[in-house]
Amino acid sequence: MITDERFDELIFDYLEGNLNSREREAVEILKAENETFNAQVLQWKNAYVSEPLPEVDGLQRKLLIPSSDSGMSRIIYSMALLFLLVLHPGDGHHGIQEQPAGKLREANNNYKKDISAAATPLEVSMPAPACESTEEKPVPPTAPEEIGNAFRSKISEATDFETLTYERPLPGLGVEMPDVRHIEIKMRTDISISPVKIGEMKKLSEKQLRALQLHKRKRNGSNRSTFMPGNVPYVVPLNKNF
Amino acid sequence: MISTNDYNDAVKRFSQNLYRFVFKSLKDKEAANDLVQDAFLKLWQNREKVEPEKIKPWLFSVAHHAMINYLKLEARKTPLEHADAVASMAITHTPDYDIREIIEKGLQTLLPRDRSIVLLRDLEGYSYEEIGEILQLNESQVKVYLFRARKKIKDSIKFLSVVL
Repeated sequence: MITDERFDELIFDYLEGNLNSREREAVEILKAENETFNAQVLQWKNAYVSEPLPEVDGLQRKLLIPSSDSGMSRIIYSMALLFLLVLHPGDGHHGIQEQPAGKLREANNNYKKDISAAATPLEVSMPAPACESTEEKPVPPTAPEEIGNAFRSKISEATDFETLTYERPLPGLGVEMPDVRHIEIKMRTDISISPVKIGEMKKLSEKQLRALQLHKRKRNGSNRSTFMPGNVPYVVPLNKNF
Repeated sequence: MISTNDYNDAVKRFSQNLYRFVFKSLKDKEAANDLVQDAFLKLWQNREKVEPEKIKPWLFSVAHHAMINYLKLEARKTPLEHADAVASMAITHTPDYDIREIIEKGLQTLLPRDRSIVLLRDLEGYSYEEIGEILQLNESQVKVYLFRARKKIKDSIKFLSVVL
């Protein structure tokens, strides 16, 4: 007599593949003949867990360690880099790109020109004041009043820059003031100084400043450094009675 | 001794399986993520001790123990006295159930050890010996626990089929 528990064990072993060939055949015959047993086998089969593998790309990316070996990937990478360099030879901004000697010389000359241009002040074009020291112009009759008004005007009263400018020549001075509104300031935008050069210039100016300070100190006679200037020895005056 | 290549290879080959194993037990994506990351971190920290051939069982063993610790902590946070009853109630109140859902619920009613045995056997196809190695049990124990666990799942399916 086979109990239910024994049936369960038998089905479990059958599904798990723990039976030998003879036992397996016996179970299959029983399954074919007995409907109840067959239904039980199906129930056991349903108790198996199945689950597709999840997508864990993000997790994998977090976990992977970038390999530091010089293997195939490095070779492929360097080949790709070479290929890109061949395709795009560069426009002169790449420091690593080798330049022919002539080009380098030309670039150097251009750079020197730029530097000298940078040293020149901003180009300001304004009409030259007409200084007429020899010829005397007739002074307008309302001159004293205008001067008084000009002094009386306050900045707080002015609304903008134009209100403070003189549209007419300043009376009494004989100098024709330019019309401020017509001053044109042209900014040169074609000058480029490399940051390295700026740093060098800064260092040079600091060095010059230090040299100047040293020169001043020498001139004043305070060049010698004093050892522990605060500790001046106290000399007991001998002419006093203690 | 595990090299970087071995480790990366292990990540590519086993991270999905490990995640599935942990997630199936915990039903919590963030916790599963954390535990898998911890397992791989431990693998890297112990790379001098672990043999490259034993990486997979080692990872599953670490993940299993981490899972048990996690469940203990979680149980302290939210005490559920009648977890079985709650699980079965959840199923009975689900209008459109399917066999997979019932198995899920059945799995949740199992002890963590039994659940790990079922998952390692069904999802990863480990032998009793390998499962024993991972969970530090002997072969016959694994077989008995697996039989009981599977029977419990089968009974829950049968019961719910009758109820619904």
